[in-house]
Amino acid sequence: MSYVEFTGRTLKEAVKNACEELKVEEGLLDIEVMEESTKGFLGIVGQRNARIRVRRRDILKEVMEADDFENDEEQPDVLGRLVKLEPAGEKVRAGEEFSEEIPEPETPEQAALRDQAKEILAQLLEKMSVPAQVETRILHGAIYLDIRGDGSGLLIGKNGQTLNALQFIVNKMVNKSALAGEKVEIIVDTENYRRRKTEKLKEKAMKLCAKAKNSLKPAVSDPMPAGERRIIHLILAEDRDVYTKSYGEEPRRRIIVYPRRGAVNKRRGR
Amino acid sequence: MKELIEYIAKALVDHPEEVTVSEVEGEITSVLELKVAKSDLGKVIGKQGRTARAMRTILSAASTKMRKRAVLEILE
Repeated sequence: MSYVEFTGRTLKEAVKNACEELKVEEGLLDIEVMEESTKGFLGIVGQRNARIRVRRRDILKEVMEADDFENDEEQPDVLGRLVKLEPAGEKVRAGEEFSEEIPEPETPEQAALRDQAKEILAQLLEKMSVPAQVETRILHGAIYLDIRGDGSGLLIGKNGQTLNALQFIVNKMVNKSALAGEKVEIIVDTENYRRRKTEKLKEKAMKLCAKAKNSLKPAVSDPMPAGERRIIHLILAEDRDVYTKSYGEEPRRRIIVYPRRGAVNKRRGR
Repeated sequence: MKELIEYIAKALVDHPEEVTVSEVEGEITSVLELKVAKSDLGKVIGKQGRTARAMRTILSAASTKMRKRAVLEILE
């Protein structure tokens, strides 16, 4: 969606103009201040109108744009989808779904893929000489594989490295002949790692958010992988007082949380 | 460990019959040499070497378990 420009004698007026013209609430607009108004000298010299450009907000798209996520079969984004699926207005409860034990209905194709994925992972574990059981279920349309039994943390690795590698490889193996768009997402988990991770990310997101708001300066995160950044983007997309961007090159890409230009939002009592 | 890499590689390539893994064992470190069909090279390396890296990560987890060290080399 493209931007539309509006002007007004003050920032507030420009925003009001935009809302009236487009017949939408301010909250639904993505507002970018191009030029702030200046009163000038005695209202004659140097007086300048405020210029803004706006467009309708699209939270999901914003998140995608913030990070240039590619259509990425390697990074199943079910974790992100858990956040997305929350009904608007409710608090983000990412991760809690993992404890949900209600089995989702599955199609025969899903059941077949689930068995295939389970078998592949079990084979891998056996060849790694890790004695463990694999339990499976469908979680938000993705295949969720839970490794039970080892418990040593060996399968998680530093920062979830090993678990992510397993997940990546299993995804590749199962989706080898699948066409783009027909790929299934597979989550490999053990000892509730994914859920714990999401919770930690939530904390991290809140910390960054608070830091940005308090200092009114951009807050920069540590480098993190795409899937984790996506979760943070999604969590913070709900907060109108900040916006997020990613910066840097993989694998050292970081999140930056920017406080929004307080004037526009705060004056409206947001 | 050899079987592990062989299993992964065979599942990823288009010509599994051309996959060979040879193990050069050392006292502490063994080197696994993976050979695949030329057209499959990209499949085992992956975008930005991601598949290769994932295989190496899994391999090092497996070898830690056996108190050894293993290195994966992909031969051209």
